[in-house]
This record gives sequence, C-alpha cells and structure tokens, in this order.
Amino acid sequence: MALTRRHVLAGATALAAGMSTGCTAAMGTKSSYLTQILAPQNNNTVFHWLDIIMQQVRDQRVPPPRAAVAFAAPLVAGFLAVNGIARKYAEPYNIGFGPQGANMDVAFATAFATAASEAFQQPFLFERTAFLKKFPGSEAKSLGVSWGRRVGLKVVRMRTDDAAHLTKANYYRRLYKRRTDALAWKPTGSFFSAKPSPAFTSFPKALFPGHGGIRPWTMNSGSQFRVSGFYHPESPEFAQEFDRIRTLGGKHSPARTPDETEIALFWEDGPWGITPPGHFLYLAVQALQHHRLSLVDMARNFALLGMTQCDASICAWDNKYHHDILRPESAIRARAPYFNNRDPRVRKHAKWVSYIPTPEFPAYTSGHSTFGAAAAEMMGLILGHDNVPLVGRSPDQVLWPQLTGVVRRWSGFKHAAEENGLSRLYGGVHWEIDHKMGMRSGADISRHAYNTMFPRYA
Amino acid sequence: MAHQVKSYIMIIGVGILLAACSNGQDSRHLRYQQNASAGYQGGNYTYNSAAPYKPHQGQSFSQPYHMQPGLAYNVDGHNGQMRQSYYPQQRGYGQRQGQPFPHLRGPYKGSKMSYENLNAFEAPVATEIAGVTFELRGRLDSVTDYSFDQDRNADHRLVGTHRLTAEKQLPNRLTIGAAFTGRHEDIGNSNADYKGRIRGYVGGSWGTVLGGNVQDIVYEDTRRLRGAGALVGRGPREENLWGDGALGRLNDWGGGYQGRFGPTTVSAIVDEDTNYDVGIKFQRPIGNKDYRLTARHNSGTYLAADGLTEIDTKAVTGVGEYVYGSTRYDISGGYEQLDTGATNADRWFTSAGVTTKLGLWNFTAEGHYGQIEGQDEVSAFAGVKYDIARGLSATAAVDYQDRQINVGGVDLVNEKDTRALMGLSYGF
Repeated sequence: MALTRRHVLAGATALAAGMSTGCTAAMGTKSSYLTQILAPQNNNTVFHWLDIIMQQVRDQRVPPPRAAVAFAAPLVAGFLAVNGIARKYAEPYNIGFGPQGANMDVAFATAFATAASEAFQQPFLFERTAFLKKFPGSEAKSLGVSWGRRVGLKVVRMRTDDAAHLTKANYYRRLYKRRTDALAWKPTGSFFSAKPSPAFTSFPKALFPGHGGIRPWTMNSGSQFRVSGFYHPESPEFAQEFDRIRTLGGKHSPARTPDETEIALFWEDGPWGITPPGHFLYLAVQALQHHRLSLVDMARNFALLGMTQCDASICAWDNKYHHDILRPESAIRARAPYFNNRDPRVRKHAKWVSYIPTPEFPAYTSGHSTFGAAAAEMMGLILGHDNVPLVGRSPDQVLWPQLTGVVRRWSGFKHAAEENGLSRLYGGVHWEIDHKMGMRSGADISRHAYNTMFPRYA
Repeated sequence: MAHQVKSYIMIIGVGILLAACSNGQDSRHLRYQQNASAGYQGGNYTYNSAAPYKPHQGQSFSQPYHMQPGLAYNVDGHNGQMRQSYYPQQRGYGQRQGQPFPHLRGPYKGSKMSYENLNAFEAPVATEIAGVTFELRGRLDSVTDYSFDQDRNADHRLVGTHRLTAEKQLPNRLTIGAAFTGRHEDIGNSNADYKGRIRGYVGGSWGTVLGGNVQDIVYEDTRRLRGAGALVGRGPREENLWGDGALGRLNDWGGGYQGRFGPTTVSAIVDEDTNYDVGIKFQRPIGNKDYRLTARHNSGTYLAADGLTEIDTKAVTGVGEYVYGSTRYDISGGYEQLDTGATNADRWFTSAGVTTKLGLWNFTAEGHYGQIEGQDEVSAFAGVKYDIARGLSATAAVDYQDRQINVGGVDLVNEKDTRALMGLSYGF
C-alpha cells in the first residue's frame, strides 16, 4: 500500500493532536502534585517547574535514585541562571554573570527546561511554550531566553560523563566487590506479602548497582560519607535487631500498631508516586511557600535541596553495594542458621514475609532515611528551626489504594524524616541500623553542602 | 515424547547448574567479612561524624524511637548523644575477621528453591568496554501443546531467544546503540530454525530515530499487554489471543521515530514498501488507578490462510487499560480494511482481558470477538504462570479459536482449534 502525501499529512496531524495531550497537568488539576499543598497565590516559577518534573517522575515511573539525579540538574540550572543575573551568590562552576535586565523568570524556566530535557529525555516542548507565552515579547524576555539556554546547556555539558547514563543498566560495573559470607545480599524473593500490579516481575534484578559511582554535586566523592561496617552476625545487637524486625515488620505482625501499619504504606513511595526525594521536595514547597523569598533565594534553596537529594542517592547506593548487606527477609526466612548467633531468637522462620515489598537492592544503609535526613537537615539550616507544621497525602495511591483519603501530619521536617525512615522498619524491609546510619549520613551531606555551596558574595 | 522430556530435563539441568555455580553460601565461605576500608576515615572503624544523629522527639510522635520496647538504639539518654563507640559489639567480634564460624551447620541450602538459588545471572551479563555498555539477555522456553480438535497429538518445541545490546552516550549526550536479537526454534525431527534481527538507534531528548528490523515497534507500544501464559514461540508475535489487533503488518526492514512528550509517547515507522505504522500512548495515574490509552493507525500486508494471497490492509486500533491494586483490566477495538485485489473486506474486532497477580501466581483471562464481512471470528485464552525461582517459571494455558472466514473464494483465516499448553521457561 503506497504512502501518499495525504497519509503523511493525516498521520502528522494525528500525531500533533496526540502530542498536544502530552502536556503536563496544569496547577489546579487533580494530576498536579503541588496543587494539594500550594496556595494559588503562593505559586511561583520555581514551584511551577518543580511540579512539572514531579509529574514526569510519576509518568515515567522513575525509580528513586534516578529521580534524585533527575531532580538535581534542572534545579541547579534554574538557580545558576537567575543567580547569574542577580549576582548574589558565589558558585563553583564559572557560569559568569548574565545580562542585566534579563527576565529572571524566563531565564530560570529556560535553563530549567533545558537541563530537564536531558534528565528526562523529552523536550518539554509544550510546557516551555505555554510558560513563555505568559510573557509579552520584550528585550528582557529575549535576554532571559538566551541566557537561560546558555546556562542550561552549560549545566548539561557539565554533567555529561558524570556516569549517570552508565547506571541505567542493572549491572555491577565492577565498582564493588561482592560479599560471600552469610550477610551477603541477594535479591530478596518476590512480592510475597504485597499484592503487586502485574507490571512487576516476581524476581527483579539488582537495582542500579553502579549508581554509587555517579559524580556527586556537593560531596567530594561518592564514598565521602560511607559508613562503617554492619553488625557482626554473632553479636547480641544483631540478635536484637533480628528479633525486632521479625516481630515488628512481618505481614501479620501483632506488634505493629495500626498507625505504624499506615506509616509503612504511606512512605513506601512506590512507582506511581514521586519517590522519596520528590516527597521531601513536596514538603519543602509546603514550608517555603509562606516565606517571602526572592526568586534567586527560592531557587537557591531548591538547588541545594536537589543537589543534596541527588548526593543522598549516591551515598546510599555507595553504602548499599559497598557493604552488600542482606535484607531482613533473607535473614529471617533463610539465613538465620548460618549467622551462628547463640541467641535463640535468631532462628529461621521460613514463612515470614515483610509487610511491604522488599526492594531489590542491599539493605545497608536505608535510602529512605538518607533522603529524609538530608532534606530535614537542609530545611533546618535554611529555616533556622524545625517548627514547621506539615501535612500530606501519599503520592502513590495506585499501588496502595487503601491510602486514598489518608492524610498525615508532622510537627516538622525531622519528624517527617524520622517517620519516613521508620516506615521501612515497620514494613520489615530494613534493619534499624540501616535507618540510623542513613539518617546520619544524610544529615552530614546537607551540612557539608550548606557550608560549602553557594555562599553569598561578600 | 523423548524430545519433550529431553528439553524439560535440559531447562531443569541448566537451573540446577546455575544454582550450583552461584551458591556462595557453602560452608567454605560462611565467614564474617569486615572491610578494612569500611570507615570513611581510613581504618577508623567508627563513623566519625561531627554531629551525631538525633532521633526526632516531636510531640505528635507517639513514642520516642529509642524508648520503644526491644529496640537497641545505643543512645545513652543524655541529650540523645551516641555512645563513644557506635558499635561496641563489633570490637570483640572484629577479632574473628577472616575466620570461619566455629559451629557451621553444613552447606547452606536455602529455605526453598525460589529463595536464593538460580542466581548466577541475577546481574545481567553486561560489561562496559571503552564506554560502550554491552548487555546480554536470554530466554529458553520448552513448550508442549495438545490440540483437542486437530491431530490430538502433543507437539513440543524448544525455543531459545537472545538479545544483545550495545549502547554509548556520545559527548553531545546523544545515545547511540544497536540491538541484535535472535531466536532459535527446535520442533523436533531435526527441524531447527534460527532467525536474527538487528536494529540501530540514535536518541536524545527529542526522541529516538531507529532503523533496521523495527516492524513491531509501534505494535508493541500500543497493544494490549501480554498477560500470564505468554510463551515464546506462539505465532509470529507471541500473541496469547489469536486475532487480537490488526492482521496487517509491516515488512521486516524499515525506519522510524519514538519520542516522549509528557505522559505521552508517540511512535511512527515506515517500512521498505512504504507501509506505515503510527501510534500514540498516554499513560498516567489519576487518583488511585493507573490509566493507559493507546491509538494506532497502520497500513500493511497480510498473508491469507491459503498461503498465496497477499492482502493489503489498513487499520485503526485503540486500547484502554487501567490498573487498580494488583489487577489490570484492558479492552481494545478496531477496524481494518482488507484489500485482496479482487475484492475488499471490512473487519472489525474487539477484545478484553483481565490479569491479576497474587504472590508468585499470575492469572490471565481474555477473549476476542470480531467479524469479517459479517462472518464471526472468536478466540479466548486463559493462562496461569507460577514463578518458581529467579528466572524460572512454569506456565499452563488453554486457548480456543474459531476463525474460519472465506471472502470472495479466498480463505482469509482458517483456524479452529482448542489447545492446552504447558511450558517451562528460564530467562536472564
């Protein structure tokens, strides 16, 4: 059947019509995350674009560590573009000064979208057009577009060869030596306890073993905050942890309260959500919307948050594959006899299953805890206090429809971060030490970043 | 029968071999490792963070973390400060570095087959050479089917498939790559066949341009998803449900484009005979359900059941799917024009299915109904898959089709059969 010009035109029209449906949902609609917590009068350019990439994380089902990487570059590019115009903060990338009089909102949007296009491998064509249409043609707009584009491309080039692309494949890249002892991690069973979507395989492969090799934004290296070793399996402390998680995190655990059960699901941040890094950016918007900050200050705050969430992912994944420690489910169901622990509580429970699905990567340290602590520490440093009432719904209600209508409240970021980390214990997928050490390294990442990145010009 | 037994034994044998190769838990290795570089300050065993971790103790949190019964929190209670030695228990045990445990209970076997065996390929066979990422995946299917309507004999086949990809990101951040897939089928009686396919691609933020054997790119983007019971070797597209979707296909060689715009992906392929295939897919969770909607328009060719008549086709197809909890529901419908040269025929078709997952069990039921020039075509499928172990699964299914349609003296379709299928698959 010959292809005629009519066919081509019809096809092109159909594709264009279809693509126009591809726009990110507008603020105020049900599919926009920030609509849940952002007062319309507090919306600004930073929040507008953050909402767009949050939706993209959800729509592409980006896994948490990749989402952290994808959040960072656009937020940094947006900040560097407005900072180049405002000339307020020093930065280490030699971006230089932007043209005086350039429209900063336009510059932010252009730089952000340029970097986001690379991070999400899609052009954000309609989102850019719709945003720029809000600004009447002027020299300030033209300068903003050209400067934003220049900064965006510079950030993109800066992150080329940062090893992020190599982590897409789930293989080891020989960065880490595998353990061979009884604590060695192996991908943990299937979704024994959850009722997962058919979209999930029963036996997934190791998730992103090379992620710890990505070049960080603020840390000196991926291993800068690598933590010390895990418990000895013969130790009484390990026995205590073993028993605690067995009794607390099992599918039908009577020791877990209804509130803890809800917490376990609430923070699971599954594939139809915005992942833990997105979840904390969402909470940061909730807190920062009430502060009358200039665009450059708001952009700086989110650049710091984005960078440290990315570095939290690198740090956690470096720890995970460096230490290569098994998940509680493996230990409780299978390995217990081989720990040689004399505590009678360390025995095999072949039918034990975790309450939430055990993730397909090593346990130590907890990514959730690292993300949460990094965000809580950064927000504490930005605000100078942690007295910030927060409220939120679970971003993923597809995998967990029982969370529909559930709203949780926190007294501040540290409370939210702690609950987020503990959710993995209640769910039976992490050791307590995974949480504690993740919290410590996450906080250290943010302290280090806050003290070293983007100081104000004297 | 001997052929069938042989291939089942082969798959199980491969599984056992892999388990034996990969089992790192035997008695010789059961020792506690301590990495000398564990502390990030070179040899200092504890994590010398300047500021120790403090648990949140906000008012609304029901009970301070370290006060919960049974939690060994190692906090001494003074301002939440950690004890000086964060892991005091490890000091003594650390002396046993490199020493095997004294009271081993014999080689580690795992609690069940599915738990820790068959792990040899848990990390895909992949490597990086000169910045190029190579990745190999493979699958072996042993399939037996029994026809209730036709020869009443069990047929058996063994199908091996592979996919080798090579990919590199260029300095301008374009990704360039190639994929080589192949399929070897052995249906016994010395009948074996191998077919390889290759495609290349260049992609960036504006999408990916592809060339080579790309005929099914749009189809795979826009079809109803395969459910439980999908076995390699079932028809030209490994379809579960006979007659589902358009009959016409593109030719082997072609080129096209795939790109993403928000929650929407678009794809378009043109083959060497200027047949074309364009599709669009929208997928987004709304509330507590995930929706996927697709539309496809294609022209192509279809070889009639007589094996001689080549038919030009044009079709439009749509699919709607939603996922709620552990269950996926989908429905599709479409219209196709069949041009035999001598006569034209109109075909419309619809199908629906449900797939659910319960632990290691996957269940699918689906049905298809359509008409060509008023003559009915019906098919149905029910399948169950059990994931035995990492990479290993067993499948049982029943399928039915009654599609006997003659238009203008040409047998467009001529199939009537009820079959039972069983299969064992291993993939990595």
